[in-house]
Amino acid sequence: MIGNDIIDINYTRLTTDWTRRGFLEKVFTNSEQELIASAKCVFTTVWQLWSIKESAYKVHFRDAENRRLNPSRIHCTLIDPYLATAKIDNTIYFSTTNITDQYIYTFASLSDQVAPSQTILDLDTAEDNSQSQLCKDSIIQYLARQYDWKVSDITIRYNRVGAPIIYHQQKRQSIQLSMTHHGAYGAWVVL
Amino acid sequence: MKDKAQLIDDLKQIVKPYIQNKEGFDNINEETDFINDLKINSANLVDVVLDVEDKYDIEIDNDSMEKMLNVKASLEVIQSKLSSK
Repeated sequence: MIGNDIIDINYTRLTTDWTRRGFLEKVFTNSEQELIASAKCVFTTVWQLWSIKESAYKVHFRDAENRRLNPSRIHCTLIDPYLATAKIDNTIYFSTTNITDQYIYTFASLSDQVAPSQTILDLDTAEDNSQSQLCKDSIIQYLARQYDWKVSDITIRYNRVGAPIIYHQQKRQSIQLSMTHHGAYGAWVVL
Repeated sequence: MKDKAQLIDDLKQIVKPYIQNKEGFDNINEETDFINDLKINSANLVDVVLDVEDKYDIEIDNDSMEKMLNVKASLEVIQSKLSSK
């Protein structure tokens, strides 16, 4: 199982005040808060850890009955500046993060495999609905090329917790998919 | 003690800055889901919880926060915290 998460750096500056009272305590464990306090770039560390949590959460809750809003239950440990583990209950996920001037992107999965090919999209629209549509269109184009399928035969549906599932000719496929969008960026990964 | 309609109205004002789906917001009701219907991003879900704490002067522990992904569960958490104040 796989999960991913992208954070648009400019957009997150505008929309989330991580310095507000109570925010760090609600989101991060004590050891993560220590890591943040001693970080060279506090902003980047806050959002890198957030993105690790979010991507691991997507893997963990993919097939769950219910979602949960409890980021401090996900315990992140940085192995090096880009690799990390995220522990949820008794499961450990491995993650890789790419940090650029524009975005922070994390891929997480159950094994420490190299991240499969993934696509980052520059979405020049701020409307949430059209963003997810652009992501879906990009995935469908990829699947059509990769598997020689007709575009009109491919659909992406969501399960009860909102995880995307690929269907071809109305049949559920075992190809794993995770997608994310935030601000001006979107990304998807298939395995 | 505030009644449910008042609490929904308060909650509507709280979530307003974070919603990305106006239609879902205009039709807000007990069954509204913050992520699926209002398209609130996950970092802003934490803001909603913090705003609720500030608004009612209550403390929402992590076990309660966990459930606050829709209007119904949020109302239950708020009512239970208010009644134990």
